[in-house]
Amino acid sequence: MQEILLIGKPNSGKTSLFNQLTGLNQKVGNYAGVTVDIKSGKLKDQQIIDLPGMRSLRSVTPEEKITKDFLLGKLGEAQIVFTASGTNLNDDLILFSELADLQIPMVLVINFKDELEKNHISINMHSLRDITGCPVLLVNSKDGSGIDELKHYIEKKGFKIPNSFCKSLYENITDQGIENNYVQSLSDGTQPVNISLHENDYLKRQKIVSAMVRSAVTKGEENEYLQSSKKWDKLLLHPVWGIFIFLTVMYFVFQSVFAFSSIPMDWIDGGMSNLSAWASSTIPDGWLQRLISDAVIPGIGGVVIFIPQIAILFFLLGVLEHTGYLSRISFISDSFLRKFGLSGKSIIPLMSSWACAIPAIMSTRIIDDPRERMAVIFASPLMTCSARLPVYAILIAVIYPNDSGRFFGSQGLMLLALYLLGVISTLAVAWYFTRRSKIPSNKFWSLELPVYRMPNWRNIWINVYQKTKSFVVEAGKVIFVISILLWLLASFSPKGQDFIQAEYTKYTASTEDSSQMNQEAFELEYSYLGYLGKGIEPVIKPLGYDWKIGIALITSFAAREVFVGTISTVYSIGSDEDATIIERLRNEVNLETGEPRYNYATAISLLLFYVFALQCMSTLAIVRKETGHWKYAIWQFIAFFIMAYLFALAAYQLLS
Amino acid sequence: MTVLDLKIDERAIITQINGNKDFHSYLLNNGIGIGTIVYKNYSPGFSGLISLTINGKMISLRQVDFQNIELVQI
Repeated sequence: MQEILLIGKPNSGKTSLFNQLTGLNQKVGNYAGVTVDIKSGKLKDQQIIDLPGMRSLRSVTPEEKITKDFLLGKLGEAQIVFTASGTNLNDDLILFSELADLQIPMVLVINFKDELEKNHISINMHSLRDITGCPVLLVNSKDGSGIDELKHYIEKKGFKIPNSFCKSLYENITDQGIENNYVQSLSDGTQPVNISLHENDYLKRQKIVSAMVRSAVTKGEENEYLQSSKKWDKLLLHPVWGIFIFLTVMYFVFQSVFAFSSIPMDWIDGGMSNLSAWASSTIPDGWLQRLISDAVIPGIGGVVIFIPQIAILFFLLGVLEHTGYLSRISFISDSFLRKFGLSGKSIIPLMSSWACAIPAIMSTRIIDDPRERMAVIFASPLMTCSARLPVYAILIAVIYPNDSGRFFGSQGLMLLALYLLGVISTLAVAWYFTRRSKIPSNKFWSLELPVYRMPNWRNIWINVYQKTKSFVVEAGKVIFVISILLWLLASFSPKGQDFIQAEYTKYTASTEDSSQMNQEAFELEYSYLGYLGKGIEPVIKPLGYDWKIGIALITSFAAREVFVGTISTVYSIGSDEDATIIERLRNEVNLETGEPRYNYATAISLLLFYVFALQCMSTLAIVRKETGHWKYAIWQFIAFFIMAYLFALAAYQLLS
Repeated sequence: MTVLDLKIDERAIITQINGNKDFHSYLLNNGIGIGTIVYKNYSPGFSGLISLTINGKMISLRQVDFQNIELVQI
């Protein structure tokens, strides 16, 4: 199958063009070892490949290196659709001239036809075709105009090798003839850059391209198309108003991920519960019924429940990115985050983590510095995600019972303190990571502020679809398997069902206490998970926990909020109101000391444990997916567990 | 003079780039070389960044990096 590579500078509308050519007929694959998407799609019998944007064949950022390596690996086979932004031809055609020197058949696509018209820029296509020597098309990837002609060229294989621009710069006359070392000069990224050659090359190309653009392009006042964006920037980057607008926008994004997702998440939750109940009543009683209704369906539910949050976050990020405001957010927050070894590009993933670390970690792809990106992936699960809230709410209510009716009270202050602790620990871990990590880092930082544009809704939806699908397929597999594993541990006992039944009968006959354990809790105690809880009791005892809390710690590895459900089951509580749970926890007595089990020291210790511990298998699964291997996920889990343990230990020992 | 000395809405041409090879290379890849015309858009004090128009694009760099770029106002 013939491969057509889409290449262009960042923000030249390459991905929009790819979406126009392939529709939803796309596949996203990670480039080996590096988490950069290379999208491929089909257009009849042609394979269209969307490569990460690049500024130059000499660029060394990881994404650009991928595009360069991919391209050099396809020399002699592939053809290129080069995408240039119509309003930035002077800049974009310098990269085109570099590709022309590789002597690959190309079509030059000049994108954003609408912006050319709006800014009174006209291009003499005949002149440009003559100068470049390859087909030149004018398209608008936003509304699809000109796309049919491009498809025609692709299908009819109408690509042509453009005129070489500067290749002679690399030619050495030897005894054997002319030797050209242009490709060799590009492919060896490990060698020191020959800066004078690079500079000469650049200046020569710039001169040729400027002459080319002057002869083919007629435009009004220079940079006219930037004026409107500059006017907006005066407001949006204003030292006072800019920050106010930024905080308002971020609040809206953050709040939307919470607010708009709650209803569909409730639907999914309710739907999965109904499905589980239906399976339970339809399938004949036995292990298969319990496997499907208690593990498979809840396991699937544990994956799909995140879809609304992921979809909403990526939709809003898409709108911010397409309008050009995302870059302004990075601009505004850069100064603050620089103190912690990060840059303005980290702000979105970090703030998104308040809703959920999973979409936040997925959104770190907007960070182009590999070390910074890894630091954010590593640290962001410490931000207080929504799954911690049920745990915090219950434990805070247990230790601060008489707070109702007061606007400022201990409960609110404690919750605020926990959120602040999350932020401080995230920044501290990111700061430490960026200083100690050996992952290569971009030494310099620049940010292009694109012109403000109306969002391309089609592209945004395709991106939302791709991101959601990628989460469900990749992370979903891991979540699903671990859910089943936890169910197996909770459902089977080394003692056998008859033994448990006999023990339970004896237990119910021997006690008339109304708060006696129900059978479910009794079975859990005798399950492998129950034994595990008792097994880890010596380790967690210094933190003030007993084996029942141990079980909750193990099950909440699946997701933090499972802590509440497990505690309810372990303490024989039905799924009624929260008040009952809180009452039961308050009344639980430590048999050794005779004091309440959930005293101030234990509750603070547990709260601190949940601030730091990475009790979320979905997060681990997405870290593995985004980093390409388990190494970081395992390190993250261990490091956060140690932090959680030490903080919880210190809190209990100091307060008890 | 450097970009730091340039006032908002003023234009200048780059005459010299100091710093190491990586910095030169990085700037070239961003379309910034000797002879490039730059136009200062804004430099909000709180951000530590400066936004310039270069080759028709608005590019922001950190002030510390701009100290290595010498230019002449035009």
